[in-house]
Amino acid sequence: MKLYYKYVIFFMIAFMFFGAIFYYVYSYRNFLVNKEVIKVGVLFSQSGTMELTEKTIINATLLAIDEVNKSGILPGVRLEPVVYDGASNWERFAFLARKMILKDKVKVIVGCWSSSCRKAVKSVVEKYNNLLIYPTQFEGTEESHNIVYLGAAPNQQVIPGISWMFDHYGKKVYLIGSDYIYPHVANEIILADVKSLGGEIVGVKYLPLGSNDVGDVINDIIKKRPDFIVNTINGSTNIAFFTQLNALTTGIKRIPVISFSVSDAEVNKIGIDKYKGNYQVWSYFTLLDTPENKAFLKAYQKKYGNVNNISDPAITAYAGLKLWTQGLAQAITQSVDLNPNIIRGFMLRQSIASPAGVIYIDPFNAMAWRTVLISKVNDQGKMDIVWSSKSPIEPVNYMNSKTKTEWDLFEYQLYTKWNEAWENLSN
Amino acid sequence: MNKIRLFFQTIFSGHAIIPWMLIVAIIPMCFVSFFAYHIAKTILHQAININLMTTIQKKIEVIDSYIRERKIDLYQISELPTLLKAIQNSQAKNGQIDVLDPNLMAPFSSYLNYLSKKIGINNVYILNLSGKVIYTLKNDAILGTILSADSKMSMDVYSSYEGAKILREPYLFATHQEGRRSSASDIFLSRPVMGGGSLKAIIVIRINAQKIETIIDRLLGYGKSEETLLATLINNTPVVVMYSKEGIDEKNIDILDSQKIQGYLLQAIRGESSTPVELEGNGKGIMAVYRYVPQLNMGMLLKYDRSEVFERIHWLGLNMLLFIVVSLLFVVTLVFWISRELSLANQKNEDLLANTFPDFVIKELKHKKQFLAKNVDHVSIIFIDIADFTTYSLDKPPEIVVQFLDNIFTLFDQICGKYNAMKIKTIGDAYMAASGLTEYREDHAKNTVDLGIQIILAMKHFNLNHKTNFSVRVGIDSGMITEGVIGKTKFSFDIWGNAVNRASRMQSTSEKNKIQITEETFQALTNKEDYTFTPRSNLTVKGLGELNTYFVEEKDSANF
Repeated sequence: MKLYYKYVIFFMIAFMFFGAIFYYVYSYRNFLVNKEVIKVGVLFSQSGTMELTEKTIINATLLAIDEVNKSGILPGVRLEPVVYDGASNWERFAFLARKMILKDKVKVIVGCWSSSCRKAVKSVVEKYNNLLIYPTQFEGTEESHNIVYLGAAPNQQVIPGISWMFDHYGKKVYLIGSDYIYPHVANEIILADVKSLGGEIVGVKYLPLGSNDVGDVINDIIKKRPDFIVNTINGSTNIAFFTQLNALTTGIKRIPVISFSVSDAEVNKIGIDKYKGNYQVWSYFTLLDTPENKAFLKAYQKKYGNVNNISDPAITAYAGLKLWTQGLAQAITQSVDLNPNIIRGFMLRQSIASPAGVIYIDPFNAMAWRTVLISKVNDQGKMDIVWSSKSPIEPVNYMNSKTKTEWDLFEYQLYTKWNEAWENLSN
Repeated sequence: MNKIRLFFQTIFSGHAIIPWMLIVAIIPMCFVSFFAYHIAKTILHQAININLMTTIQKKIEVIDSYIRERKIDLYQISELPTLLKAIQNSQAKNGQIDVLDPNLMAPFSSYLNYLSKKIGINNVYILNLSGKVIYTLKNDAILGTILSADSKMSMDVYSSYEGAKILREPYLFATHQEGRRSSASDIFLSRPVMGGGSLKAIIVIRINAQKIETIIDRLLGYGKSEETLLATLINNTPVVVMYSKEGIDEKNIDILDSQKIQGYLLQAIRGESSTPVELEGNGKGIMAVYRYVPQLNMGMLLKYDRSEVFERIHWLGLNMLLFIVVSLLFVVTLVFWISRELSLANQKNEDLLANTFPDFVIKELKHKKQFLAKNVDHVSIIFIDIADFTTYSLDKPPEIVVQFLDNIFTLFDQICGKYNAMKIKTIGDAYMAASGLTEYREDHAKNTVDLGIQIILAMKHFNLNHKTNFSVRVGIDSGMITEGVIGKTKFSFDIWGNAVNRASRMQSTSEKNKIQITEETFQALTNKEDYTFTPRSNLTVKGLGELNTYFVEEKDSANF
């Protein structure tokens, strides 16, 4: 009898003791238990023609991952970046995206600059129901349940740029771009817009990605004397283009160029004196005087030692990862499965105070509401913001000039013309 | 050290059963109850948080869909055939529309007048591409003027016009005047008018912001204490331009004094969103949740009394507490009852055991589950036999006999207790006791002799009281005996040995009211001077041969 009591008492004391320990661990499990690792794919080019522009995006994304891990927004979760080099090759992008999803089991991929890469990765993320956060300006004409488009849509970049140039320079337009999907669609939009404004397109030229052979095009431009040039060249060709344009047009009246894909990295490489007087349309400039931008630049400076070459897509990737984190945090709070597509659902209607102002994800097309800024490089080599939309603009993926089906057909025709690629590889 | 050991012995002994059972039952129960309460509270807390965030989300969605509907209205107005025809027939100046056909614009105006009441449009403007106002629905001073960003009067219309012109998409521009109520705020929605595939003009509609206030008002929120604030940036400070509070007509915007609300509103306008945050007090004051409103480029803050929202949690807590208290009381009562029953049963057992066995036997039985037989020296054994009891009992009913015997033996038991002697058993009318069993006693012989003397006296008393004529024969011997317990389920304690036999013989060869002791007892007596001895030398005892024995009496028995 007596012995039995001793056992019971011992058992109860042990129960209370272990219960207390369990309760403590349960309450503070976030600090004691090993954190769950969620992998984030970072897929950009570290070599090839896009090396210069995409390097900063990787840096900004890694900075965002660092900040999220330090902030404790995600209880019990640690983000781990998986960085691969896409080498400016869309086939390699698709291969690496598949590798990230199947081998590394990433929950999200932040990646792609060019639209041909995005289209290649799109088929992969759709096949495996994963999520791509796309931080670059693009041509619209696409919707996917596995992509969040945070870059500027045509109505947030191309159209305002053309309108501004029309009002201030004239009606003769020369279009020049890289020979892949984005410039073709952008130029199709511009074509319709210029037509509705009663303007004239004096020439359209496409250069292969990574080409430095720009002399013919510039001679053609000089011959046709447009009022302004619309530049949709991507990558290192920009450096050759601006350098030679500057060399060949010395002495004659300067033709202003409005660019949609020239990043600070390339402007620095071209040299600010050769680039001044030209226009750019982005949502972000390093000089923006907002507390968020100052904080970002400070953090970036601290991590990488300089704040050179920060571009709009870099900021967008940075904000995009944070928006994804907000969605993930909400998914964790509501104890749902952390499926990439479910997290995408939670990302919709999220907003963030990013260095580029408010970025809000539209629930209908998963594109971003962004503020439009048109800037001019002045004689001192500084950016002057000549027009601002003051508030974020609703994104439109299919522009009004064609119906959705017409746009899809237009893309399909290009795709078949280029032998089932999103890039003209024939020249 | 001893005290501590004693303390532990006490609390771990069977006597402390009640407090221990209480502790054993109640502490884990309290623990489990608290744990369950905590989990339930956390889940409810989270549910409320999610609910609040859904509420603010819903309000934003209502605004969103309202503005989207107005954009569709605007699109349909801009596509009206009358308008397009009027634009086609218009007079141009410098390549821009200058005057719209008045004949066609009259039905357009009447239609707009009808529509404006229906969808809440305040005014409609149409501007040509050089910024000249070519049409207004209501007679406005700006008709015919060329607008610019510098003119303070028409700045809002111009901003709206410029937005749509550059973006080529519906553009929303909201104006607010500092220090004034929402009725002074206006929302301008503009979009391009396309005629024959080219951009012809910009159409702008003006909606009163009060309309939005009304739709937020109409949307049921979380509770009565809820207030909704919509703020925008004016000169880099957040200014509340719309305000709604359920069930209250009078609207005072005096809440802006709070520095914290200003801060939150600023964050909301910048695009941050929050989980519920505290505004005032230590968990008892005002809570808020804020979000960015994309369509208006404003920040929304939902403010509510914590007490109201957490009413349900308090209710849950109260219920839980009541439940815990009631079940604790129940458990306490149950435990008390069970342990009392248990301890009563235990006591009964122990009493019974104590009657059957000597204390030291019980102790050893409890500890070791068995009692080992052992030899004990220096023990005196006394046999007392009631003489002629058999003859007396012959003609008596058995109940009376047993009653008599019981009375007599009870008397013997009482006397035994006085003389440190232990009753071993009774055999018929004989009574057997011993002294010196539990521990070594120098006076074991004296005890038994005194016991014998006392019993003889007591019997005399008994005879007087009961008018009987009983006498006793007493025999005593001292020496070594063996003690032990026999039986596994039905125990009995007994002693064996030569001394026991001899004591029995002493009794049988003794005389009425005399105490016969052996030589060994005589030697063991320490106070021989107190007694008078009458030796009975060379008494032949059956089975033992010749023995020296003594009759012993108290020295001054004459006193009795």
